[in-house]
Amino acid sequence: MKTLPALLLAAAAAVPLLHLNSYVMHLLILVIMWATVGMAWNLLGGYCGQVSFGHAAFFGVGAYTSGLLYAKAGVSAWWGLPASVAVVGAFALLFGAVFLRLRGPYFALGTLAASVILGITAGNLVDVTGGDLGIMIRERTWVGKTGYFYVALALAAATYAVVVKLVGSRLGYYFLAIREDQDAAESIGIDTTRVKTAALAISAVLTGLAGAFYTNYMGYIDPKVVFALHDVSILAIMVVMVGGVATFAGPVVGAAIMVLLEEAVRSLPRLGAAHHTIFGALLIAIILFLPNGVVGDFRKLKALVRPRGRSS
Amino acid sequence: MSLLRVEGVGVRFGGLAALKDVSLQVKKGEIVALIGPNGAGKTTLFNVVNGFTRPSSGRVLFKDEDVTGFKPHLLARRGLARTFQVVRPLARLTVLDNVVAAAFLRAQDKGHAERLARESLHFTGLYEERFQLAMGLPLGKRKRLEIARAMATQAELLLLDESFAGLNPSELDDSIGIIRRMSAMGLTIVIIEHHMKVIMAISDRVVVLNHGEKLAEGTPGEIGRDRKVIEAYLGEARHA
Amino acid sequence: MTAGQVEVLLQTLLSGLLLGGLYALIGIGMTLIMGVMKIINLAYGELMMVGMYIAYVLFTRFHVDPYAATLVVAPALLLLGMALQRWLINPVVGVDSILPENQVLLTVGIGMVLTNVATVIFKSDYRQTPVAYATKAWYLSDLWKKSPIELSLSFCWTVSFLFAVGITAALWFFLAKTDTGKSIRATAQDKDAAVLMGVDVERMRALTFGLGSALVGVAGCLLIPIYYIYPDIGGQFTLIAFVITILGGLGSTVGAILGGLVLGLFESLTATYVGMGWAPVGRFAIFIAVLVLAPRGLAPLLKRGGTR
Repeated sequence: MKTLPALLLAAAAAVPLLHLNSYVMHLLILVIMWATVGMAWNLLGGYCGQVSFGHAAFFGVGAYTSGLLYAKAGVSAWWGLPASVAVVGAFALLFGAVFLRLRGPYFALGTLAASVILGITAGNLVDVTGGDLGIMIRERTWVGKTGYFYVALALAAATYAVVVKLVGSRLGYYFLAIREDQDAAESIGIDTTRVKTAALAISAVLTGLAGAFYTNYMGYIDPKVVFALHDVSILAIMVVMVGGVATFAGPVVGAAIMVLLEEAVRSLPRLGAAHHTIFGALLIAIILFLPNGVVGDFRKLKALVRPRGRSS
Repeated sequence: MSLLRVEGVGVRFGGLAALKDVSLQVKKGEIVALIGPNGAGKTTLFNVVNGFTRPSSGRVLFKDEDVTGFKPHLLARRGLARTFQVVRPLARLTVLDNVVAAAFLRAQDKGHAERLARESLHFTGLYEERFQLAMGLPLGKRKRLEIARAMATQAELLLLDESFAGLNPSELDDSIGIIRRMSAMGLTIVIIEHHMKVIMAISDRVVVLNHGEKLAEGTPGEIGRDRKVIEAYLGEARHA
Repeated sequence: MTAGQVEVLLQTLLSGLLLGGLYALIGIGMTLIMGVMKIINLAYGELMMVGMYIAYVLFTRFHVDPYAATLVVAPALLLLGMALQRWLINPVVGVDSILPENQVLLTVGIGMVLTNVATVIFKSDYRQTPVAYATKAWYLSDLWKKSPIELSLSFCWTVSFLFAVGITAALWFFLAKTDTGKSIRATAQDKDAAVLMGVDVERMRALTFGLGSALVGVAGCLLIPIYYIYPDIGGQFTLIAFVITILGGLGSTVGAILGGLVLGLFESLTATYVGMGWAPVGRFAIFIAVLVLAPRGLAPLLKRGGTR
């Protein structure tokens, strides 16, 4: 079981060799990117218990780091990836200093408000960001999808490795302790402020990297897209919830489900516009019936498919 | 030598004084019982010593260092641990992981933390249950888990808040045994308790709080005979 | 100050006050829900949106005046709210999951569904209810011929303000004097004690959510003659409700009223002296500031040295 992730990674790395069509590759890249964002969110939310409703803030700041380096500094947007580590990291420290003192739902609300403010501000600062017109990157690094695929995969693999390493370490135990009972955690010697900040910073930086990648891959960003509440922040939460909170595989499974579901809904003739309705309904259903996601509530799912008590 | 000194501590919540000018000392190696009617301020005093509540006046000195207002994790680092009246297990973690989390305070790495955790679990008799989820434990074992956690931080002074409440007689004896062994190891213990049997059996000294003030202090025998204490409180206390 | 400046200031304050009345209504509904049920309802604005669309349909199809539509909207939203609470929100409380914020997320899901359904039915176009009296107003110069300044009092805003006052008074009466109202307050103060006293807590919770929904639905009816409606309109009003609730102190009806008035004045002043586009940012900024600096609301800060 331990080698499964490595095998999957190897299998994934071989995918471009299959010469699948561009559309399929696009979907796979999105799945991989959202798996990264989901894993990052899971670190802060699922393992450390700080439920952020505003991860779009980090995604957007990462995306704009790339975009602005290109638009204002005239360098390749790829520099945005390393740069975003510093920018988003610093931003996350500031963010944490303001919001981490809030507990539970208030943290959720505060982060939501912050991400929306950022989105509006990015739209208002027309001279800096180009406002709602966004930033377009005219030179395409690669014609095909393969290059982008490997970058996304590398990012996801690195994120996975970070999560696994952290969760098994002292910091990981501290995350879980804080999640279960912050006051008890303080009492056994955990500097909860510092640990929460670490969780936030790591989660933010990984999300920001995904944002910077997004800019390079899509070639166009604007505030409404990268700072979006439902299509980034809530989607990140859904990826983790549907897949399985506080599990390693959950965000990957969740990303696959959400991206494919979104594409499926969009292509249906009648339902096309209703994809948020379906997402909303799915969110409600997951919360009510499968709160620990596909991976977390796997037994419940199995029981639905093969009810107990039936003699085989 | 005084491990803990509480000097003139007062706590006000809005207009209400939860603690008024409370002073006490705890010497190294002692077992001190803190008793008093409900609402006397016992847990509040623990909260002040442990760092959860900032006192409005007075100070707390631990190992001769002024630690007034320090956050709880700083106190834990200095060797002061505390259990909670309403138990607070890390519910979704196993018993072992609960204690490992605490052991990391002193441990260099995970292996070391697990060794310390196992020792602590053996000591409190929870080793058999180490892979059970904390939320599945009955109350008595949860209380012992709190003690196991506190011990894994290698504390020198432990504040135990009603670790014996709600236990059946055999669990009570087990817990008394644990406290005695902790004391024999050289640990200093302050316990909040209502069980007179426990108090009389194990404490060196008793401090009585009433309405946020220190009412009396002395050996268990002296306190048992003190008229003020009997009037205020012992009528309420449960007898073995 | 010149006469012109005085005029602008007074008009701004007047507009702010009238706006504040509507805001207070929005805030009271939210504070009831948060106070009684300890629920954070991120679908609150969407409930208002539903009320507005009902009023819109009644107006365009059946020529029902929006103010009269409140008679339909209020019970409709009361039922919708009760149904949502009973069937969706209440069950979540019992579900064991790692993430504690499921209840808030659930309301996000509800909001998404409501918004999207509205989009599918009505499309994203901005729609209006062009009532005959939309621009009607009273002017100070009509009353006082020699007035040095001109003030205008918009008919719609005034009616909305009066409605808000009336509803608030009725609500106060309901909560303070009727048995059901007292049961609701008991449930808010101490759920377990209320159970012991024989209060059907489950029913009170459903009723409270329904009541809060009805209040915000009615607020929507009051707003629609003045404003326009589109499916995404809910979000900003959810935020407004939060800001008011947190400003006034969670669970405090009086606080919600004061919070509404304060926010109304703030927005009016900002619109006049800073610029129209800054309202959303201003709201969020206040929200964050109060959340972080004064989580119990401004009311405790105003009472000097008083008890909690």
